[in-house]
Amino acid sequence: MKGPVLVVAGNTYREVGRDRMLHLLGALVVGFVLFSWVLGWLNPEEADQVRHLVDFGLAGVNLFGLLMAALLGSSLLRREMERRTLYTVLCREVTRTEFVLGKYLGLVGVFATGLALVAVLMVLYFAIFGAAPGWPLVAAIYGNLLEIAVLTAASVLLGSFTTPALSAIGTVALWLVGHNTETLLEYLQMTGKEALEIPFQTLYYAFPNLSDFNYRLAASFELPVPPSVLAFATVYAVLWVGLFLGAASLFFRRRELP
Amino acid sequence: MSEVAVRVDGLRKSYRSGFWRRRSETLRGVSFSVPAGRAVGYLGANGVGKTTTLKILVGLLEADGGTAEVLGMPVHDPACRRRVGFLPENPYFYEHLTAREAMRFYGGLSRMEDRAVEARTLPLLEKVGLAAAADRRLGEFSKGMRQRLGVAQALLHDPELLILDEPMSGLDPFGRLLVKDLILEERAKGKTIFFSSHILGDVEEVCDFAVIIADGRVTASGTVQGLLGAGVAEYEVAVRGAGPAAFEAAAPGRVRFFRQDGELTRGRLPGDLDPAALHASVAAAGGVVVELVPRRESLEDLFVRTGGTATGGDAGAGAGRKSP
Amino acid sequence: MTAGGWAVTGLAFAAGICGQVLVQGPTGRDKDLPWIEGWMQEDLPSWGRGPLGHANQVRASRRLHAAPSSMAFRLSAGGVKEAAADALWLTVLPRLGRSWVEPERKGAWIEAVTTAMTDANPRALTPVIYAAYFLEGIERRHPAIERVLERAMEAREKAPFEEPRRANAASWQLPEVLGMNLYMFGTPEEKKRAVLWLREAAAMPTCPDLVIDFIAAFRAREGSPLEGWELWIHRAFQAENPEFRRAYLEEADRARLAALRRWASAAEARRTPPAWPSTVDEVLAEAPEPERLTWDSLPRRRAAVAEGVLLHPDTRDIEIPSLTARLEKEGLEDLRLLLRHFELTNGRKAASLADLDSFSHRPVAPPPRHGTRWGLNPATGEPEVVPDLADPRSRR
Repeated sequence: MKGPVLVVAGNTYREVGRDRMLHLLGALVVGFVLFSWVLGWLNPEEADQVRHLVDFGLAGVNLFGLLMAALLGSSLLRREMERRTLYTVLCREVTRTEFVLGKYLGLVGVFATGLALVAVLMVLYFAIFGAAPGWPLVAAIYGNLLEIAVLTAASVLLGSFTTPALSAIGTVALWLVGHNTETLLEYLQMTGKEALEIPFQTLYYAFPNLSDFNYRLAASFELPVPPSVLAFATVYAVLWVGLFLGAASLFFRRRELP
Repeated sequence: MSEVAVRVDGLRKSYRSGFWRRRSETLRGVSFSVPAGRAVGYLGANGVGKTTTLKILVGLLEADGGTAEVLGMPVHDPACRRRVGFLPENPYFYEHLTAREAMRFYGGLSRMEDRAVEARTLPLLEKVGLAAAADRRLGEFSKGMRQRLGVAQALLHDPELLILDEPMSGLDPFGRLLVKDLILEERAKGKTIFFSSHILGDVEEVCDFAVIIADGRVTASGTVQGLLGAGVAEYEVAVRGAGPAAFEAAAPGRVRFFRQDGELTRGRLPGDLDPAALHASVAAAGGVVVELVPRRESLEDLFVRTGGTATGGDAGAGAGRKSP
Repeated sequence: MTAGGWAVTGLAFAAGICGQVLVQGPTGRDKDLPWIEGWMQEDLPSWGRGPLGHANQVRASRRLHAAPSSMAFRLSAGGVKEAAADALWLTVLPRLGRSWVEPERKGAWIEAVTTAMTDANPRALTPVIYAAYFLEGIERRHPAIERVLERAMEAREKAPFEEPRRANAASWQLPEVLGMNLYMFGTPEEKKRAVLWLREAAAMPTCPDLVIDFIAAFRAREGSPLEGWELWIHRAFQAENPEFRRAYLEEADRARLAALRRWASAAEARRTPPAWPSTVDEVLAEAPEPERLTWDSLPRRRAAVAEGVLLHPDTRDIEIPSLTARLEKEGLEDLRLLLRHFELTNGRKAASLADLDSFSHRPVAPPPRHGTRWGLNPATGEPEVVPDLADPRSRR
């Protein structure tokens, strides 16, 4: 007997999995990965060609993952409320927290499936080109999944109290800031401006450091990614997801259902 | 099992709406109780707060004040909903599911075993008349079909208490008969049914008790018999060969309604009429009384009398209260 | 945070980044935007001094192809820095070879884009090496070459959950390119620095042997014949694999032996009548002056050069026995394999090593000791080392 969280997750998985927009974005990712071969061709150095394949393929996965997390995550709860489908759900022995968690897990499950398919595609692609795919590539895609999980949680949080458009913008802003926190600290060290110290430090601690999920450099230069790093990253991701979803369920509980 | 299935005391709820977030009080201290094992109707005009009360009972909304208990447990405790079945007004479902999958989904949410869900799905769908559409996607369902599925999902986990919001809306007469039979069947099994409706005839047929809400408060509650009172409320009279003047003579100034029906003249006269006097006055006018049918007060009359025409909220003033 | 707060934050961020990118200046030709120049050079002098300052000076010029400031590039690329750097490289690549309307700006542009690419993707060496090459084409000792290569060598990367470290610490290409540039086109002072860079390149474990041989060769021409020996020893001490270490030490011995043999010949010629030196000190006395001066301050180096050396007056040879033994063993093994190959191919055993001459094969180096040659023992059919009576140095 499954708990209500898994039941809601399974239902969300099926519902989102049939979404046309998702299929379109997925096709775009596949097209981008295939096209990255052409882009790599522009480089005369052969060693760089394979590196470009990996770089552009993983960048495409990252960008489209951001797009999907921002668009689908922000409308997750709003769609339920607009279509009033959650009345028959919440009248049962399901708390709102369980509901939010279930919807989130279903959505992330869809993303994980998509990423797994892309991973298989990329491994096959490399096999065709004769380059060994290697463990770092899989690690980079797993890191991307963790990043998408955190972004989706942030998107759900934002969607629980603002409109989908604003929360999508907020998610993109979070992605930008999250990837640049270390760059900003570096800038701080370079310039040494006192006035920027507090704001940048605040940004560093208040936002998830998304570059901790970034193993694309290791994938393109075939550097090892130790499993301990992946374990730390998973724990870090779970912490941030818990934080965001906890806040989201708080907002959702206060929400007046129409 | 306690004797009272639902107990509500002093429930208050207000909404904020509009740009300036103005408050409008929907419920202003609603108190009633629903005895166990009975079918109880919850009556009121559109917008007075019936749906709000029901949603508070099922935990979809939080009240601003007052207490509500369902099956002996406070409403905000999710455990109480294990034994409650709810049918929302105009239910909506996930369009990508078939009816069977939807039942499986709801069964899983109610922590039922898959086998138990399987065993109950088809009989329930047959009972509500959806057996033929069991494998069609819910996106293709008509409003009536959705309503029936809503009833089915409310019954799926065999709850002790059924809370139904306008269960008969959107249904054709066969559907309404179906739902009425279901309610009676469940009541016979010892379940409690608490449903809201503005179709008073249905409530009269099915319910033992009724609670009437108007203007954010309960204006009347009790057994249907008690509410309507014993005795004759009025007579329906049909006379041939005499005009309205004959009625006037029998009960001057208190004739409520009359119309010509071919060669018959019909009217309604108050219940304290003396039938002999009527026969006399009609005979004097040269006619003959064809029909003399005593009628009790209907809920509709009660409703109108207790000010149920208000549109709820601020507007309108409640009429006199009749204590249970 | 309210919706309004989010909107303001997002808009502010976007505006900041757009502002950075806008300030880059015109991307085409002949577009005068004096207000930007004036603003940057007069009203905001701090811009010119900050870390963005150098790039700002580049951008302030007219008719320059667009070059992003490194910080703005990284900030706006977000999570796809590596791919953005690659994309930038692909757009830069075709323009590198073209001639510019104002060629003196080309160097500044190359430096600006290479800086942006290096900061975003520190491990990509191709852009840096190409940049150095094209800068060399503009001006042989272009000042930007050193800056670009040093920046790439110093570039830091931070792996997740680890401390930042130098990304290209194990790269041999960068110090080699810099060293070669300084050596070929620099002043004598710069040549000294060049040698340090080349040594750093040669010390890297992945540096190809060819590079070491090359460096040893031209340093020998300058009077440092033991440069190769030093580089190989440096390599050996960096190697962790004992097999590799043994191979590097063997190469070092070979380099040392070659130098010692030349000095011994010089010592022999100096004597009247010419006679083979009888002590190792006489041989070492023939070393060039820069080397001898080093030995004054580093006696242990002198001892290492002289270690295990045997003089053979009869064959006029100088030998390092451990090296000799290894080389002989390897040569015999090679010959054995060749004979076996011959037997399998031709169906009969070789009668003498002359049979192998018709058999095309990779030449086997002669035995290491002077006055010896390879022979075939007719009894056992195995190769062996025999004295070479034809060699004038053989006195046996």
